Order: sequence, then structure tokens, then C-alpha cells
Amino acid sequence: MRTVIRLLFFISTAVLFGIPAYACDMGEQALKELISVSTYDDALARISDPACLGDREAEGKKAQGDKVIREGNPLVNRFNDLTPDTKEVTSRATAVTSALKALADYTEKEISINSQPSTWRALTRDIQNMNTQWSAITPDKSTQTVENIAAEFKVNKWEHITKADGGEIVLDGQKFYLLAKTCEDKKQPCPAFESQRDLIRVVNLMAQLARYASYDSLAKHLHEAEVELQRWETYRSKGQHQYIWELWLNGQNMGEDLCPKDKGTGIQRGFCAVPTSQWIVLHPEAGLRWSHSAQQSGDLKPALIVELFGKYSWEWDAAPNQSSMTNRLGASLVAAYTNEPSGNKWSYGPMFHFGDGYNVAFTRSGSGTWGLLLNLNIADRYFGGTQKIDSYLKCLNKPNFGQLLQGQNFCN
Amino acid sequence: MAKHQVFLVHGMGSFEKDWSLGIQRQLKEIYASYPKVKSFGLVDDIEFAEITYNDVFEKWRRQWKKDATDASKAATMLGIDTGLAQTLIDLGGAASGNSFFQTHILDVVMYRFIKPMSEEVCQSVHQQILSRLNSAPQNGIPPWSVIAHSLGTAVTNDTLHAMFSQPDADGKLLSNNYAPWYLFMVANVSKILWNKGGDFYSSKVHPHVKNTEGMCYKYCNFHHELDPFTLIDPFSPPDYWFPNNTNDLKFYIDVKIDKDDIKELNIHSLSHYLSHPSINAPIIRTLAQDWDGVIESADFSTAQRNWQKNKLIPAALQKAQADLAAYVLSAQSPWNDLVTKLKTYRDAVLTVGINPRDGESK
Repeated sequence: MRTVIRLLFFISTAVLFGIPAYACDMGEQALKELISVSTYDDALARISDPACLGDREAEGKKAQGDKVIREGNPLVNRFNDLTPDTKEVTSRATAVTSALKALADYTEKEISINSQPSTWRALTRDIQNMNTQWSAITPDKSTQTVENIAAEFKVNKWEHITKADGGEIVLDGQKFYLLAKTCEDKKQPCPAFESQRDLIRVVNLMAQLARYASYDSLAKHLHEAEVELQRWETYRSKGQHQYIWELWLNGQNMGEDLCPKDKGTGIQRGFCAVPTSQWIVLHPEAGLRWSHSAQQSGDLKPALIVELFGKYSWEWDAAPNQSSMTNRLGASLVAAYTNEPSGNKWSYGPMFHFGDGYNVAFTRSGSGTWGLLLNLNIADRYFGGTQKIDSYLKCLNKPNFGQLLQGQNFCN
Repeated sequence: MAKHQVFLVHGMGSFEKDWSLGIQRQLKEIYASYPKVKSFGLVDDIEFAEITYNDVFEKWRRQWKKDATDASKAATMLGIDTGLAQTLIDLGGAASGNSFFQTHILDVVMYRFIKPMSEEVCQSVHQQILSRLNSAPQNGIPPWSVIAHSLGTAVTNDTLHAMFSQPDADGKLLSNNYAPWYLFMVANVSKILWNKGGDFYSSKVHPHVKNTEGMCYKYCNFHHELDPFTLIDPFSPPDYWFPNNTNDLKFYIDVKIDKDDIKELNIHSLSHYLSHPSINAPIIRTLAQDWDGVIESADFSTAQRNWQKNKLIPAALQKAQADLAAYVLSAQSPWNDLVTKLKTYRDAVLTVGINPRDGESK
């Protein structure tokens, strides 16, 4: 009676307001409503979408008075119960075996109940064969063994039921058509429709199970992608900063050690590993120069440093900080321009890179004056880290180098 | 189970979070106009997932800008305004501005020629896709597909090739159980931007027959007869993509929009492409698992008629066609010519049309 009332309500709503959109659901009531405004065959095509297994939450538990009842399809509920989230490879193998057994038990029963016994029989054999492989996995078997068997559980045998080929699927070596025509008369029950609907549900669950079985592959690749992405971030922000021409040059220098190629096709295989070295070429940056000459005591002056050519290298740290740089070292040849009492002048010398982006250079001008150059990272450290170049350049003439190294903040 | 995930991958430009909301709205509105698609609630089975990679270009640009600004301030204090040092500072800052060249064309050039950048972009897209799939329960990881546009087609192509040819620490590839179902490549420029060596068409990214090697169930290539970007080096798969005795249309479709079908000069925009029934209908039919009948022939004809009613009137159409013809270049053209022409084209079209920026920020 309740069903009839709902159906009448639905039809009147459809007449008054146009046909409403159906939530994708393989539940009995939703199917009746769907068939009432379409055909058995269209309804079948509609619910062949894997999402039509139903949403996990919608099929979850529903409180009814003091009792908690399960909604949704019992087979799907059982499948969900047997395949929980897990990080343990052996637990996953056990779950897959249990789910395969549950599906095989279900399909075996359907052989005698349903209207398409040959299809159900072939499906049962295929599931049982898969179950035989998985049942051979005992708890002492290695992760490698589980992964090898999982690799043979291929989803493309099970998924992608398409109207274009009538829902063709090969089961136990024979072709079957899960979207083959069923019944024209919507007023009569249609056993073929019911059988094909239930077959599609099982086939979609098998596709889900194939993905579940190979989940560790997804998890591993995701973890490695996260590490590599973070390394690229580190490469940009914690390596020696690169201008566009340096980035291009360093990209040209990424050879097969970082970007291996497939020998057959000559195409790069996978992603390039993030480099562990970089060339520095014609890199201008602001810095500070502490100079000392016979005529004047030491003080700090703004400097423009141009790193002419150099190299910087590092290693990637071990887990858990795999995206951190360690053993960072580098050297370059620099030219530095500063204002000196004797006039503006260029000085030249080596620069050394160490630690967390700290650069120090020793340069000598044409007049023989030696100077010590610091990059802004190292200057920032002694000025409190947040100082901007324009503000601390203004107070550069105030401190002497000794005071600077003592960590005094002169700009406040 | 989670719904079919359809990743939306943007083209060149300043795209930020939520860039795709307008595109999603457009697609939902279009699909609501097809009676059967609407009444069957098919769009409810799809979940759009936005991919953004422009942040990679943006972070480099910001860093160049800061470094060049700092160096420039030091140079100013020291009175340097000429010579090699100043030239280098100017060059360092040149790639970091907000002009169209710096945020659009340069992105394409950088993607093609600067490996660290293209690798980081692809790794970012790789991570976003896997992360999204991994957010579903392990027993409900959904199928997924991609709608990519312009530069995004190259990014998608390169990412997918790398994703499924990348060995993990144990030397194992990502399981094919996580391969995409369908690739919808809109204004496909993946061939000209390919920088991974060998024969482009021999990459992992091609459709497959069930139980044979391949990347996806169907590859859909969409282009406009006058789109200057797709004419440079058109996407045209070789015969070996299609094994004997297979129905090509089942695995691959190529839709070319006619030169007379122009609603606005910016025929390259994703929204212009998606508005056309010859593009949006195959997408939803394919997403409904190759169910052609989900859009009845009569409904498709109505959609086509409605679209044709709103296209440019003959005089404006002729002018647009002449304008577009002037931008056409071939793959043999030098890159600086390509860049100049494409910049001129984009300058001309960005200010006109229904949604010429496809959701990018200005």
C-alpha cells in the first residue's frame, strides 16, 4: 500500500512539475520509479554506472526506534563489511579472499534461482578461480607475493559496462552481454532485467575489489609523489635561487641519470627525479660587504654581487625528512660592486655556499683591498630574519662587523 | 561508492582555486537542457574535481620578482644603471611581471623548454589526482576521467605518461587498475608541447581495447577548424593506435567544429568549445558509458539548432574568420613567431565573449 501511495505521489509530481531527476540507486523502489518513466533497457543502462551500487553512507545504518537497521542492498553491505580500510598487506589479502568467497557463494546460489543460469555459472567460475589464487596466500607469504597476485586481478576485465557493445564481458572464456535487451512490457515483471541488474552489481563489485586489492600500489605512488613534489618546492626555495636562464640551463643538464628513457621508444620513463645539484650562472643579488683597508677600520656596505659561475650540491635527507636538503655545499666565482672611499669599484673572488642558504665570499679589488661579502640570508640571520633589504641597507653604515656578528639589531 | 571523478585541467593563464566553478555551472546547465540526461539524473553521478597547476609558475615568478627587486635596490643605492649587472637584473625581473606575455605565453614556453618547471607541474597534477582518488574509502575508489583544455592537454598527457611509467621504490608501476576511463582533450596542443623525446604517439597515453595495453577506454579530441593554437601541429593519431578489427569510434573520436560555427572571436576558450553540442553531447554520452541514446537524436538536433541561432551573424562571421585566418601558423614556424602571433590573438580575444577567461583571475 505504501509503495502504491509513493508511486502515485511520484506520478502526480511528475505530471505537475515535470519528471524529477533520479538519484542513482539500485534500490527496489528507485528502480520501480525509474522503469515507470522509461524502459527496462534504459533503466539497466542507467544503473550500470558503478556509482549506482549506492553511496556507502546512504546504505549505512539507520536508527529506527531502539533498533538499528541496515538499508541498501545486502550484498553490497556484506562487501563493505568485508573490505575495510587497512594499511596491512596481509590483512588486505585476507579481506580480498573473504570478499571473493562471499561473492562466489552469492553467485552460486543465483545459478539455480535466476533466469540466466549460464551467465551466473560462468561468473561463479571466474570468481572462484580468482579466489583460488588468493586463498593460496597464507599469512607467512611475503608482501611481494601478495602484490604479484594483486597485479593479476585486473579491473578492466570487470569495469566499463557499456551500452555501445551491449555490456559485453568475457566470463570463463565466453562472451556475455549484460546490457542485452530484456523486456518490452513494463507492466509485467521482467526476470531477465532482474538477473542482469544483479549480474551488473556483482561485476561492479568485482571491479571495486580489483582496485581494493591493488590499493597498496596507489598508496605507495601517492606517498612518493608527495615527497617528490615537496622536493621540487625545496629545490626552488631552499636551493640557491635561480633566475629563468639558470633554471633553463639546469633543466638542460637533467640527463638520463635523473630522467631515464625507455630503450625501446626513446621516451622518458616516469617523472624526472629532483636534482641534487645546480649550476649558478650570472646571478645578480644584493649583499653586504665588509671591507678593510689601511686607511679605514672595517665597516659594512651595501654590495651588488654577481655570481659569475659556480656549482651547488646537496643530498636528500633520509626518511622521515626525505624532502629536506642535507650536506649542502657549493662554490662560485663572484664579482662584487661597492662604494669605497677611494671610489666605486669592482672586486672579485670566490664565494662559498654552506648550511641553510648562507653564502660568504672573499673578494679583492684592483687596489688590493680585501673584503668579506655576505648574502642577504646570512645578513637576515643577524638582523632578526624579517628585515627587508631597503630598511637594513639604510642602517648599514652604523654597525661594525664585530657588532653585527654579536647579533645586535641596529635597525630598530 | 564515490562518484565518477571528472578532473578539470585548465589552460594557460592565471588560474587559482575555484577557477572551474563557472565551467562546472556551464556544463550542468547544458546537461539540464537534455531531457533524458536531466530526468535520469546522470550529472549527479559525476563529481567534478578541479586541478590547478598555475601556482608552480606563480611561485617561480614571485621568487624572480623578489630577487630582482632586491638586486635592483642594491644597484640603485650603488648608482649602477647600465652594464652587464643591470642587464641581468632587468632580465631577472622581466619574466616576473603581470603582463599577458609574462602570465600566459611565457607559461607555455617555460612549460615546453624549462624542464624543472614542467616536471614540477606534472608532479603536482600527479599528486592532486592520486590524492583525490585516495580520499575515497579503499573499497570505493571511483573511476575517473579528465577534461583538459589547451596547455592543460599537454600537462595531462605528460602527467599520465609519467604517472603510468614511473616505477616506485620497489620498481613497480602504478597499477593499471587506477587508469583513467576517458580523456577529453579540448583544443589539444599536447603534441607540439611534448618534450619527453621519442615518438609522441608512442607514449603511454592512447586508448585501449579491453585486456590490452593502453591508457584509457576512449580518447576524445576536440578542436575548431580555425583555432590557431590547434592548427600549429594538429593532433592526428597514427594507424597503430587502432588494432585491426576494432571499431575506431569506440576508442577514439575526433570532433572538428566547423569554421562557420563561431559565437565569438575567442573560439579557443574552453567555454566556447563546451557550449557546442558537438562537444558537450559526446562528453556526456561517453561519461554515461558510451550510451548514445542518453541524448535522443531529436534533442541533439534541437540543441544544434539553438546553438546555430546564437552564432555570429554573417558579416561579423566573415570578419572573425578573416581575423582568425591571420593567426594561423605551422609547426615549422620559429617559436618567436608563434609566441608573437599567439600573443596578438589572445590580446584581441580576451576582452570579448561570454566567458573568455574560462574562470582565470585577471
